[in-house]
Amino acid sequence: MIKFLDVGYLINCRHKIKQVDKLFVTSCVLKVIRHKIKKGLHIFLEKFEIIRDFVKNYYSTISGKRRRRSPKKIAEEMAQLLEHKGYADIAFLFRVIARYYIRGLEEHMEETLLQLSSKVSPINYIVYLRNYFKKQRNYLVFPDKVVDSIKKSYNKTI
Amino acid sequence: MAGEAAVAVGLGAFVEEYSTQRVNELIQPYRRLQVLRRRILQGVEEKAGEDVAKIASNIATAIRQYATEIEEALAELRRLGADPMKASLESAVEEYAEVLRLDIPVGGGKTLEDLLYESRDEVLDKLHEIMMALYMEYVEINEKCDHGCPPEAAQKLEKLATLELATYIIYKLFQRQKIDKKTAVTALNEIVDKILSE
Repeated sequence: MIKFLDVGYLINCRHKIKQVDKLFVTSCVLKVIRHKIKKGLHIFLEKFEIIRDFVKNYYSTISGKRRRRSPKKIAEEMAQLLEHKGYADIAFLFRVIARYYIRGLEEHMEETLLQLSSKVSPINYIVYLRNYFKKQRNYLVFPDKVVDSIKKSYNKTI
Repeated sequence: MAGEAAVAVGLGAFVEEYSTQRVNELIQPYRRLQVLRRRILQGVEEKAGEDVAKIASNIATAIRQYATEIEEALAELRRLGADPMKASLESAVEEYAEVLRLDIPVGGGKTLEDLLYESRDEVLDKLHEIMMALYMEYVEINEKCDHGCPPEAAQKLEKLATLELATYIIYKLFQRQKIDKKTAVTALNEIVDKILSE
């Protein structure tokens, strides 16, 4: 079975479907993750203004270039911050973004945001993500891309 | 010393004079376009008053009014061997990339980045979203227009250009207190949505 402890959640599908077959369990877990990503995306866009304020408060005490980080590091910090603030669904989204190479998003980010610098300002990163997911085609395919990335990463480990 | 003087005056003289002449030739039609843009913006801004909903359509009308003069400047650029659409697109990408580094000084030892974290200014937040959205779109279209723009990309550029001019006018109206903050934020929010719509 895929171990999802690395994205901060243990999804126990074994009990639900009462199957010992690893493939069944994996498929169940991926289905749950897909659903959670969809939910996280929806809330992220809906609560964007609040999340941007969290980012502003969190990083405003750090000045200038010291604020800049790699996108993965920001995603990781965002996940921790959002979990702490009680936004577990959006935190899950950020934990997945921090943990996996998600095709589509990563390439797009390299062609746009990372053209500016390999380390980015968290405020730019959060606005970039908001704009990326505001585009209907990205919003719709992202949960499937996440599932593909997790599957690929799982296949590499077995 | 005389040798040094000769080096200072002569070294690179031909290439510099040659390229300056070329740049000067190109600058003239670009200046004409800049003057026309200012006239369009001024006209639409004066007409706009508090009615921000009509700004985009007023821009399209104003561009049509100046179509002949704009076309003349474009024809001159093409005659000089430039591709005006490609040049404008590349320059827009470069300029947005520069601004989005956020290290532009805004006074008091602060940068644009500091302002975005500290000011809690909704209008500035919306302008930042618009700049990022335009940058993302222009980069995507720039890749598609590598060997001439396909019709759908050209059409999209036309739409984005109008929205970019509308952003400028809304910002100016807000700065001159012709519209309040709430109106400006609502109008800018609609622009972001339009930029990012398919």
